[in-house]
Amino acid sequence: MKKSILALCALTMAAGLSACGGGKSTYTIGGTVTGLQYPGLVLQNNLANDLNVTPLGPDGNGNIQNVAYSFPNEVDYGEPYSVTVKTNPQHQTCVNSSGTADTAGRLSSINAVIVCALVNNTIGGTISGLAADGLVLTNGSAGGTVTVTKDATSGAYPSTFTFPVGVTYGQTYGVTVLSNPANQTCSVSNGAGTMGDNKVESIAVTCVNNP
Amino acid sequence: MIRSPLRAGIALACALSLSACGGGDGDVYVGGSITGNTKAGLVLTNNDGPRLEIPAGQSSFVFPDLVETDATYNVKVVASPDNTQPSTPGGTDGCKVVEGTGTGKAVFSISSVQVVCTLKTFPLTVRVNGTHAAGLAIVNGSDRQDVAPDATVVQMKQIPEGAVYGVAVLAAPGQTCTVANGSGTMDNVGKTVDLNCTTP
Repeated sequence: MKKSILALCALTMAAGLSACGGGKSTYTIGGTVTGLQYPGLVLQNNLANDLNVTPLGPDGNGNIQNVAYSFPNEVDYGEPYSVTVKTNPQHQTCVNSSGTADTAGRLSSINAVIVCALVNNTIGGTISGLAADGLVLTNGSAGGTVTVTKDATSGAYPSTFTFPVGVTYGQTYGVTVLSNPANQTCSVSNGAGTMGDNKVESIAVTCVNNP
Repeated sequence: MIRSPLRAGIALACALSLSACGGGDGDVYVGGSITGNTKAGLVLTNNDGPRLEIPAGQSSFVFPDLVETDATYNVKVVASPDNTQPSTPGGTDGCKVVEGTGTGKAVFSISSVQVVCTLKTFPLTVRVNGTHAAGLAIVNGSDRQDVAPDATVVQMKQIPEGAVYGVAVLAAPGQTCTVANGSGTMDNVGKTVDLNCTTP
Protein backbone atom coordinates (compact mmCIF):
# COMPACT_ATOMS: atom_id res chain seq x y z
CA MET A 1 0.00 0.00 0.00
CA LYS A 2 2.65 2.45 1.11
CA LYS A 3 5.00 1.46 -1.67
CA SER A 4 2.33 1.90 -4.29
CA ILE A 5 1.50 5.39 -2.98
CA LEU A 6 5.17 6.31 -3.00
CA ALA A 7 5.56 4.92 -6.47
CA LEU A 8 2.59 6.94 -7.67
CA CYS A 9 4.07 10.00 -6.01
CA ALA A 10 7.40 9.51 -7.64
CA LEU A 11 5.77 9.01 -11.00
CA THR A 12 3.58 12.08 -10.60
CA MET A 13 6.47 14.25 -9.55
CA ALA A 14 8.65 12.86 -12.27
CA ALA A 15 6.00 13.83 -14.77
CA GLY A 16 6.29 17.40 -13.54
CA LEU A 17 2.81 17.53 -12.16
CA SER A 18 1.87 18.63 -8.65
CA ALA A 19 3.39 16.91 -5.66
CA CYS A 20 1.27 14.50 -3.65
CA GLY A 21 -0.25 15.38 -0.27
CA GLY A 22 -0.38 19.14 -0.78
CA GLY A 23 3.28 19.40 -1.55
CA LYS A 24 4.44 18.03 1.79
CA SER A 25 6.54 14.94 2.18
CA THR A 26 6.45 14.77 5.99
CA TYR A 27 3.68 15.43 8.48
CA THR A 28 3.50 16.68 12.06
CA ILE A 29 1.50 14.35 14.27
CA GLY A 30 -0.43 16.31 16.86
CA GLY A 31 -3.81 17.44 17.98
CA THR A 32 -5.83 18.58 20.97
CA VAL A 33 -6.32 17.40 24.54
CA THR A 34 -9.60 18.50 26.12
CA GLY A 35 -10.50 18.53 29.82
CA LEU A 36 -6.89 18.33 31.03
CA GLN A 37 -6.63 19.68 34.60
CA TYR A 38 -3.67 17.91 36.22
CA PRO A 39 -0.06 17.20 35.17
CA GLY A 40 1.32 13.80 34.29
CA LEU A 41 -0.20 13.02 30.87
CA VAL A 42 2.19 11.16 28.56
CA LEU A 43 1.15 10.47 24.96
CA GLN A 44 2.85 8.19 22.45
CA ASN A 45 2.86 7.90 18.70
CA ASN A 46 3.16 4.33 17.38
CA LEU A 47 3.89 3.16 20.93
CA ALA A 48 7.05 5.26 21.12
CA ASN A 49 8.08 8.93 21.13
CA ASP A 50 6.91 9.82 24.68
CA LEU A 51 5.41 13.31 24.82
CA ASN A 52 4.52 15.05 28.09
CA VAL A 53 1.43 17.26 27.90
CA THR A 54 0.86 19.80 30.66
CA PRO A 55 -2.44 21.53 31.48
CA LEU A 56 -2.94 25.23 30.75
CA GLY A 57 -5.21 25.96 33.68
CA PRO A 58 -8.59 27.68 33.47
CA ASP A 59 -9.25 30.62 31.14
CA GLY A 60 -10.71 33.97 32.23
CA ASN A 61 -14.17 32.45 32.54
CA GLY A 62 -12.96 29.54 34.65
CA ASN A 63 -13.28 27.01 31.82
CA ILE A 64 -10.68 24.32 31.26
CA GLN A 65 -8.58 25.19 28.23
CA ASN A 66 -7.85 22.79 25.39
CA VAL A 67 -4.17 21.96 25.04
CA ALA A 68 -2.56 21.68 21.59
CA TYR A 69 0.31 19.20 21.28
CA SER A 70 2.60 17.92 18.56
CA PHE A 71 5.24 15.24 18.42
CA PRO A 72 8.69 16.65 17.53
CA ASN A 73 9.60 14.05 14.93
CA GLU A 74 7.59 14.26 11.72
CA VAL A 75 6.16 11.28 9.87
CA ASP A 76 6.64 10.56 6.18
CA TYR A 77 3.76 10.73 3.76
CA GLY A 78 1.92 7.42 3.72
CA GLU A 79 3.24 6.25 7.07
CA PRO A 80 0.67 5.13 9.63
CA TYR A 81 0.41 6.99 12.90
CA SER A 82 -1.41 6.09 16.10
CA VAL A 83 -1.59 8.36 19.13
CA THR A 84 -2.25 6.62 22.45
CA VAL A 85 -2.25 7.49 26.15
CA LYS A 86 0.80 5.97 27.84
CA THR A 87 0.29 7.53 31.29
CA ASN A 88 -2.83 9.23 32.63
CA PRO A 89 -2.53 12.57 34.42
CA GLN A 90 -3.04 12.69 38.18
CA HIS A 91 -6.69 12.22 39.21
CA GLN A 92 -7.87 11.91 35.59
CA THR A 93 -8.48 9.34 32.88
CA CYS A 94 -7.83 10.22 29.23
CA VAL A 95 -9.16 8.35 26.19
CA ASN A 96 -8.82 8.61 22.42
CA SER A 97 -11.68 10.54 20.86
CA SER A 98 -11.21 11.14 17.13
CA GLY A 99 -8.51 11.21 14.49
CA THR A 100 -5.96 9.40 16.61
CA ALA A 101 -5.00 6.75 14.06
CA ASP A 102 -4.69 7.15 10.30
CA THR A 103 -2.15 7.37 7.50
CA ALA A 104 -0.12 10.56 7.26
CA GLY A 105 -1.23 12.65 4.30
CA ARG A 106 -4.69 11.15 3.86
CA LEU A 107 -6.16 14.24 5.52
CA SER A 108 -4.81 17.73 4.87
CA SER A 109 -4.33 18.31 8.60
CA ILE A 110 -3.95 15.91 11.50
CA ASN A 111 -5.90 16.55 14.69
CA ALA A 112 -5.73 13.60 17.07
CA VAL A 113 -8.19 14.45 19.86
CA ILE A 114 -7.70 13.07 23.39
CA VAL A 115 -10.44 13.64 25.99
CA CYS A 116 -9.65 13.73 29.72
CA ALA A 117 -12.09 13.61 32.64
CA LEU A 118 -11.70 13.47 36.41
CA VAL A 119 -11.83 9.93 37.80
CA ASN A 120 -15.19 8.82 39.12
CA ASN A 121 -15.18 6.13 41.78
CA THR A 122 -17.88 4.16 43.53
CA ILE A 123 -18.59 4.44 47.25
CA GLY A 124 -19.71 1.56 49.43
CA GLY A 125 -18.85 -0.56 52.41
CA THR A 126 -20.16 -3.12 54.85
CA ILE A 127 -23.50 -3.85 56.49
CA SER A 128 -23.82 -5.76 59.74
CA GLY A 129 -26.80 -6.85 61.83
CA LEU A 130 -29.40 -6.25 59.10
CA ALA A 131 -32.38 -8.58 59.62
CA ALA A 132 -35.36 -6.95 57.89
CA ASP A 133 -36.48 -5.18 54.72
CA GLY A 134 -36.64 -1.42 54.44
CA LEU A 135 -33.08 -0.12 54.71
CA VAL A 136 -32.48 2.76 52.31
CA LEU A 137 -29.19 4.66 52.24
CA THR A 138 -28.69 7.99 50.48
CA ASN A 139 -25.69 10.04 49.44
CA GLY A 140 -27.16 13.50 49.88
CA SER A 141 -29.69 14.82 47.38
CA ALA A 142 -27.85 14.15 44.13
CA GLY A 143 -25.69 11.09 44.83
CA GLY A 144 -28.38 8.44 44.50
CA THR A 145 -29.84 5.92 46.92
CA VAL A 146 -29.34 2.23 47.71
CA THR A 147 -32.22 0.02 48.81
CA VAL A 148 -30.81 -3.03 50.57
CA THR A 149 -32.86 -6.16 49.95
CA LYS A 150 -32.62 -9.86 50.68
CA ASP A 151 -30.79 -12.02 48.17
CA ALA A 152 -33.52 -13.79 46.16
CA THR A 153 -31.88 -17.21 46.20
CA SER A 154 -30.03 -17.43 49.50
CA GLY A 155 -32.60 -15.43 51.48
CA ALA A 156 -29.79 -13.68 53.30
CA TYR A 157 -29.22 -9.94 53.60
CA PRO A 158 -26.06 -8.68 51.91
CA SER A 159 -22.98 -7.82 53.96
CA THR A 160 -21.76 -5.17 51.53
CA PHE A 161 -23.27 -2.35 49.50
CA THR A 162 -22.20 -0.08 46.65
CA PHE A 163 -23.95 3.05 45.39
CA PRO A 164 -24.91 2.88 41.71
CA VAL A 165 -23.80 6.48 41.20
CA GLY A 166 -20.08 7.26 41.47
CA VAL A 167 -18.42 10.31 43.00
CA THR A 168 -16.01 12.49 41.04
CA TYR A 169 -12.51 13.21 42.32
CA GLY A 170 -12.51 16.11 44.80
CA GLN A 171 -16.26 15.98 45.47
CA THR A 172 -17.61 15.21 48.91
CA TYR A 173 -19.96 12.36 49.77
CA GLY A 174 -22.01 11.71 52.87
CA VAL A 175 -23.94 8.49 53.33
CA THR A 176 -26.89 8.54 55.74
CA VAL A 177 -29.81 6.27 56.57
CA LEU A 178 -32.86 7.55 54.71
CA SER A 179 -35.14 4.76 55.89
CA ASN A 180 -34.62 2.16 58.63
CA PRO A 181 -35.55 -1.52 58.31
CA ALA A 182 -38.63 -2.76 60.14
CA ASN A 183 -38.04 -2.89 63.92
CA GLN A 184 -34.38 -1.99 63.52
CA THR A 185 -32.26 1.16 63.71
CA CYS A 186 -29.17 1.53 61.58
CA SER A 187 -26.26 3.94 61.93
CA VAL A 188 -23.43 4.85 59.59
CA SER A 189 -19.81 5.30 60.57
CA ASN A 190 -17.07 6.63 58.32
CA GLY A 191 -19.89 7.78 56.04
CA ALA A 192 -18.55 11.15 54.86
CA GLY A 193 -15.41 12.08 53.00
CA THR A 194 -13.86 13.66 49.93
CA MET A 195 -13.26 11.43 46.90
CA GLY A 196 -9.67 10.57 46.13
CA ASP A 197 -8.11 8.42 43.41
CA ASN A 198 -9.55 5.09 44.57
CA LYS A 199 -12.99 3.69 45.24
CA VAL A 200 -14.32 3.92 48.78
CA GLU A 201 -15.21 0.64 50.50
CA SER A 202 -14.85 1.67 54.13
CA ILE A 203 -18.33 2.98 54.96
CA ALA A 204 -19.80 0.85 57.76
CA VAL A 205 -23.55 0.45 58.35
CA THR A 206 -24.54 -1.21 61.63
CA CYS A 207 -28.12 -2.22 62.39
CA VAL A 208 -29.52 -3.21 65.81
CA ASN A 209 -32.94 -4.43 66.84
CA ASN A 210 -35.19 -1.83 68.41
CA PRO A 211 -35.73 -2.38 72.17
CA MET B 1 -37.69 3.65 9.84
CA ILE B 2 -38.48 1.43 12.79
CA ARG B 3 -41.69 3.31 13.20
CA SER B 4 -42.84 2.68 9.63
CA PRO B 5 -44.57 -0.67 10.26
CA LEU B 6 -46.19 0.88 13.32
CA ARG B 7 -47.37 3.83 11.28
CA ALA B 8 -48.70 1.51 8.61
CA GLY B 9 -50.50 -0.46 11.29
CA ILE B 10 -52.07 2.65 12.73
CA ALA B 11 -53.07 3.87 9.28
CA LEU B 12 -54.66 0.50 8.56
CA ALA B 13 -56.48 0.52 11.88
CA CYS B 14 -57.79 3.99 11.09
CA ALA B 15 -58.93 2.97 7.65
CA LEU B 16 -60.70 -0.10 8.97
CA SER B 17 -62.49 1.82 11.69
CA LEU B 18 -63.53 4.45 9.12
CA SER B 19 -62.72 7.25 11.53
CA ALA B 20 -60.06 9.87 11.26
CA CYS B 21 -57.16 9.34 13.60
CA GLY B 22 -56.99 11.95 16.33
CA GLY B 23 -58.86 14.52 14.28
CA GLY B 24 -55.77 15.59 12.35
CA ASP B 25 -55.63 14.84 8.67
CA GLY B 26 -51.84 14.81 8.41
CA ASP B 27 -49.42 11.96 8.70
CA VAL B 28 -46.63 13.30 10.92
CA TYR B 29 -46.59 12.80 14.66
CA VAL B 30 -45.34 15.67 16.81
CA GLY B 31 -43.76 14.87 20.16
CA GLY B 32 -40.64 14.99 22.22
CA SER B 33 -39.07 14.70 25.64
CA ILE B 34 -39.84 16.20 29.04
CA THR B 35 -37.45 16.70 31.95
CA GLY B 36 -38.28 17.78 35.50
CA ASN B 37 -41.90 16.65 35.29
CA THR B 38 -42.53 15.40 38.83
CA LYS B 39 -46.06 16.65 39.49
CA ALA B 40 -49.36 16.78 37.57
CA GLY B 41 -50.30 20.08 35.95
CA LEU B 42 -48.26 20.31 32.73
CA VAL B 43 -50.44 21.13 29.71
CA LEU B 44 -49.14 21.45 26.14
CA THR B 45 -50.73 22.59 22.89
CA ASN B 46 -49.68 22.30 19.27
CA ASN B 47 -50.66 25.16 16.92
CA ASP B 48 -52.93 26.44 19.71
CA GLY B 49 -55.04 23.30 19.29
CA PRO B 50 -56.52 20.93 21.90
CA ARG B 51 -54.89 20.77 25.35
CA LEU B 52 -52.66 17.76 26.01
CA GLU B 53 -52.45 17.09 29.75
CA ILE B 54 -49.24 15.35 30.82
CA PRO B 55 -49.37 13.04 33.89
CA ALA B 56 -46.72 13.38 36.60
CA GLY B 57 -43.47 11.57 35.88
CA GLN B 58 -44.00 11.19 32.14
CA SER B 59 -40.77 11.86 30.26
CA SER B 60 -42.10 11.99 26.69
CA PHE B 61 -45.21 13.07 24.83
CA VAL B 62 -46.91 12.72 21.44
CA PHE B 63 -49.85 14.82 20.27
CA PRO B 64 -52.74 12.61 19.10
CA ASP B 65 -53.44 15.03 16.23
CA LEU B 66 -51.11 14.54 13.30
CA VAL B 67 -49.81 17.39 11.20
CA GLU B 68 -49.59 17.35 7.45
CA THR B 69 -46.29 16.90 5.70
CA ASP B 70 -44.64 20.29 5.23
CA ALA B 71 -47.13 21.95 7.59
CA THR B 72 -45.70 23.83 10.53
CA TYR B 73 -46.01 22.80 14.15
CA ASN B 74 -45.66 25.05 17.18
CA VAL B 75 -45.63 23.45 20.63
CA LYS B 76 -46.39 25.67 23.63
CA VAL B 77 -46.65 25.21 27.38
CA VAL B 78 -50.02 26.58 28.49
CA ALA B 79 -49.81 25.46 32.13
CA SER B 80 -46.98 24.23 34.37
CA PRO B 81 -47.11 22.14 37.57
CA ASP B 82 -47.17 24.25 40.74
CA ASN B 83 -43.85 22.79 41.88
CA THR B 84 -42.06 24.58 39.04
CA GLN B 85 -40.45 28.00 39.18
CA PRO B 86 -41.83 30.52 36.64
CA SER B 87 -39.64 33.44 35.53
CA THR B 88 -42.16 35.88 37.00
CA PRO B 89 -44.61 35.22 39.86
CA GLY B 90 -47.82 33.65 38.59
CA GLY B 91 -46.28 32.87 35.18
CA THR B 92 -46.88 29.63 33.28
CA ASP B 93 -43.26 29.18 32.15
CA GLY B 94 -42.04 26.95 34.98
CA CYS B 95 -41.74 24.52 32.08
CA LYS B 96 -40.33 25.86 28.82
CA VAL B 97 -40.25 24.52 25.26
CA VAL B 98 -36.98 24.11 23.35
CA GLU B 99 -37.02 23.44 19.59
CA GLY B 100 -40.80 23.84 19.67
CA THR B 101 -41.47 24.97 16.11
CA GLY B 102 -40.70 23.53 12.74
CA THR B 103 -42.09 21.89 9.65
CA GLY B 104 -43.41 18.36 9.49
CA LYS B 105 -41.45 16.15 7.12
CA ALA B 106 -42.81 13.12 5.36
CA VAL B 107 -41.93 9.67 6.69
CA PHE B 108 -40.38 10.97 9.90
CA SER B 109 -42.13 11.69 13.12
CA ILE B 110 -41.14 14.83 14.98
CA SER B 111 -39.69 13.80 18.34
CA SER B 112 -37.21 16.61 18.83
CA VAL B 113 -39.37 18.96 20.90
CA GLN B 114 -37.98 19.35 24.40
CA VAL B 115 -39.98 20.53 27.39
CA VAL B 116 -37.78 21.47 30.33
CA CYS B 117 -39.30 22.15 33.75
CA THR B 118 -37.37 24.09 36.39
CA LEU B 119 -38.35 22.93 39.85
CA LYS B 120 -38.86 25.26 42.78
CA THR B 121 -36.33 24.60 45.54
CA PHE B 122 -36.73 24.90 49.28
CA PRO B 123 -34.28 25.59 52.11
CA LEU B 124 -32.43 22.85 53.98
CA THR B 125 -31.39 24.47 57.24
CA VAL B 126 -28.93 23.10 59.79
CA ARG B 127 -29.29 24.36 63.37
CA VAL B 128 -25.93 24.27 65.15
CA ASN B 129 -26.18 23.41 68.85
CA GLY B 130 -23.32 23.54 71.34
CA THR B 131 -19.94 25.16 71.04
CA HIS B 132 -17.80 24.12 68.12
CA ALA B 133 -14.29 24.78 66.92
CA ALA B 134 -12.87 25.85 63.58
CA GLY B 135 -12.67 23.21 60.89
CA LEU B 136 -16.20 21.86 61.27
CA ALA B 137 -17.67 20.93 57.89
CA ILE B 138 -20.94 19.23 56.92
CA VAL B 139 -22.16 17.78 53.64
CA ASN B 140 -25.38 16.89 51.87
CA GLY B 141 -23.71 14.53 49.41
CA SER B 142 -21.60 16.71 47.10
CA ASP B 143 -22.80 19.95 48.73
CA ARG B 144 -20.17 20.88 51.32
CA GLN B 145 -20.66 23.73 53.79
CA ASP B 146 -18.07 24.89 56.31
CA VAL B 147 -19.44 25.83 59.73
CA ALA B 148 -17.86 29.01 61.11
CA PRO B 149 -17.03 28.86 64.85
CA ASP B 150 -19.69 31.48 65.65
CA ALA B 151 -22.38 30.06 63.36
CA THR B 152 -25.72 29.01 64.85
CA VAL B 153 -27.41 28.26 61.52
CA VAL B 154 -26.04 26.92 58.23
CA GLN B 155 -27.98 26.86 54.96
CA MET B 156 -27.28 23.91 52.68
CA LYS B 157 -28.01 24.32 48.95
CA GLN B 158 -31.76 24.41 48.35
CA ILE B 159 -33.37 21.26 46.94
CA PRO B 160 -36.65 20.54 45.11
CA GLU B 161 -39.81 19.23 46.72
CA GLY B 162 -39.74 15.43 46.78
CA ALA B 163 -35.93 15.21 46.68
CA VAL B 164 -34.26 13.24 49.45
CA TYR B 165 -31.44 14.66 51.56
CA GLY B 166 -28.96 13.36 54.10
CA VAL B 167 -26.74 15.68 56.11
CA ALA B 168 -23.53 14.15 57.48
CA VAL B 169 -20.48 15.47 59.33
CA LEU B 170 -17.44 15.63 57.05
CA ALA B 171 -14.91 16.97 59.55
CA ALA B 172 -15.03 17.95 63.22
CA PRO B 173 -11.45 18.34 64.47
CA GLY B 174 -11.04 17.82 68.20
CA GLN B 175 -14.71 17.31 68.97
CA THR B 176 -17.66 15.02 68.44
CA CYS B 177 -20.53 16.25 66.27
CA THR B 178 -23.60 14.30 65.19
CA VAL B 179 -26.60 15.16 63.04
CA ALA B 180 -30.03 14.37 64.47
CA ASN B 181 -32.76 13.41 61.99
CA GLY B 182 -30.37 14.33 59.21
CA SER B 183 -32.18 12.45 56.43
CA GLY B 184 -35.58 12.90 54.86
CA THR B 185 -37.60 14.10 51.88
CA MET B 186 -38.07 17.79 51.09
CA ASP B 187 -41.58 19.24 51.42
CA ASN B 188 -42.89 22.50 49.92
CA VAL B 189 -41.80 24.67 52.85
CA GLY B 190 -38.32 23.69 54.01
CA LYS B 191 -36.63 21.29 56.43
CA THR B 192 -34.43 21.86 59.45
CA VAL B 193 -31.98 19.37 60.96
CA ASP B 194 -29.91 19.63 64.15
CA LEU B 195 -26.13 19.47 64.39
CA ASN B 196 -25.07 18.74 67.96
CA CYS B 197 -21.46 19.17 69.02
CA THR B 198 -19.70 18.32 72.26
CA THR B 199 -16.10 19.16 73.07
CA PRO B 200 -14.32 16.74 75.39
